[in-house]
Amino acid sequence: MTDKRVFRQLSFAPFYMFGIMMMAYAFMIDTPEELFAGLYRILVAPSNLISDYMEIGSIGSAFFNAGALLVFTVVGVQYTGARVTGAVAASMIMVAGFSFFGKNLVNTFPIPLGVWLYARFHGTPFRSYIHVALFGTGLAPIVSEMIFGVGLPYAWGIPIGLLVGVFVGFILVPLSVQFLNFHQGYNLYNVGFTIGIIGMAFVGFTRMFAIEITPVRYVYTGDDYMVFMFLLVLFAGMVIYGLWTNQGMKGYQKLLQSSGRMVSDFLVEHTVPLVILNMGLLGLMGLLYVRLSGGVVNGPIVGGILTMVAFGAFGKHPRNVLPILLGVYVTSALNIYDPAGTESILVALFATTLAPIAGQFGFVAGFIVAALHDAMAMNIGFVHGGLNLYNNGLSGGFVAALAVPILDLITERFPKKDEE
Amino acid sequence: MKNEQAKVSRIGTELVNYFLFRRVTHLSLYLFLEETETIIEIRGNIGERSVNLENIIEKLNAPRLIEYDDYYDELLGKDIERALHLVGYLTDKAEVSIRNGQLIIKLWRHLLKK
Repeated sequence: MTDKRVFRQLSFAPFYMFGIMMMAYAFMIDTPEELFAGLYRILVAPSNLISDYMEIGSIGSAFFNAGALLVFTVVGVQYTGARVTGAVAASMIMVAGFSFFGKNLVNTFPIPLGVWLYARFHGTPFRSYIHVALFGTGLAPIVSEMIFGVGLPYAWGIPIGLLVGVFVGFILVPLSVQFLNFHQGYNLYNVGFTIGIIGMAFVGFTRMFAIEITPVRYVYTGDDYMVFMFLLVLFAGMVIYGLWTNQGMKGYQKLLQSSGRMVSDFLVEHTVPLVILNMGLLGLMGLLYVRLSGGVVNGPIVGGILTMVAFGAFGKHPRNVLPILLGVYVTSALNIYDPAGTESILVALFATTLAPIAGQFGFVAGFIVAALHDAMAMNIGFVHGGLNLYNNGLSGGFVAALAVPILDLITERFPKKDEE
Repeated sequence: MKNEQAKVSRIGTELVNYFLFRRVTHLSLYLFLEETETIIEIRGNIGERSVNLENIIEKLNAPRLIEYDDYYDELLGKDIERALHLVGYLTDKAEVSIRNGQLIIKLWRHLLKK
């Protein structure tokens, strides 16, 4: 017998640093007047898909919103006493990523408050559910939509919006636990799947009473040099830091062998430098994909890339992500959607939620499910009216549920040799 | 805190699956639910079969993550490939040995105060 390994957790410092960097960068891009005017427009936007805060506000205000929200989030997480597991790290970076297109300082807090109430009700420490609370903010537009989107007076819209957000948070944990079974841990955005189902039910109700959620499409298509350079320097820095502190690539091969299926907590199973290296490489892959596709690095695409980076601590690595990216790219090149369009690129970046399928069943399986995901994700937004920012999480859940039993059947027929 | 019995049942199922999917046909599971801890022991006849003991120990020696106690335990009992890893996240101590042709896995899980 040997002792249990000690969990040497990552400190909160890099997350604070990232948040402060984004806020500082905002002031380098915009004047304070432009920045705060843009921030106001962001805060009062209904924020359903696709609300690119770089287009609605400005590039600087989108950066400021993301940085400020990340700092608030990290303070909150630290206050709960939670440790930085892979899931917590991923959920914090996701908040930053989606603060470029849908999450803001107004709409993000009611859902974690609901999860907190659930934890109190259930007698479980809130820190155990902190990652669910943060992932759950993918339904933040439900709050903004009620306050600013459906035409209710503020006296009604504000309390209704807040109450709906808190209610969603309250039911989120039990539902998302159950939905793990639906895709058996092969869809990394499990909470995205759950809030997609909740959003679907909610929008069904609103439509029943003739309250229409108006679809929007605000997408920044201007010069992306400043955004691209910020991300390039950030990810290159992470790779260099990882290589330097890890003294090369040692141990990385082992990380690449992981299928990525839930629960693959790389921060627990591997070293911090290795995970930072992995995250940086995924970020560079995402950026390269956008450039090779001919797309613009706008708000939603920053969110997509940061989501890949986030899950570099919780299941994704270049080996299981590559087949998915290639699968969506080839499908986009063959179908009616423009591979350089924001929607197609977003599907590719977020389709990596299915990376565990590539990790478990191989390259061809990953390539095929990516094609299926492209078809599904492009069609499913209507059912939740764009209120679920994790549209691909919803789609990914269905694709995994559809594909995994068939893939299991094939692997059962041709089993691998037992490892132990 | 979710029902402790339900969690122990899932851990037990995971261990049983681990043996069954490796075609071990004779096995025994012992559960000891004490006031402060739960002990789970499983024994399976592996005969002359070779077992990668180091691999099992490495997986079970994953640190206990109380953060995952009330959430990802739902995945237990389903994941043949990573079974022992998840079990490692939910237990405090593990002993693995081979005696008289039997693979023995013994786990300790301390109960958490609310």
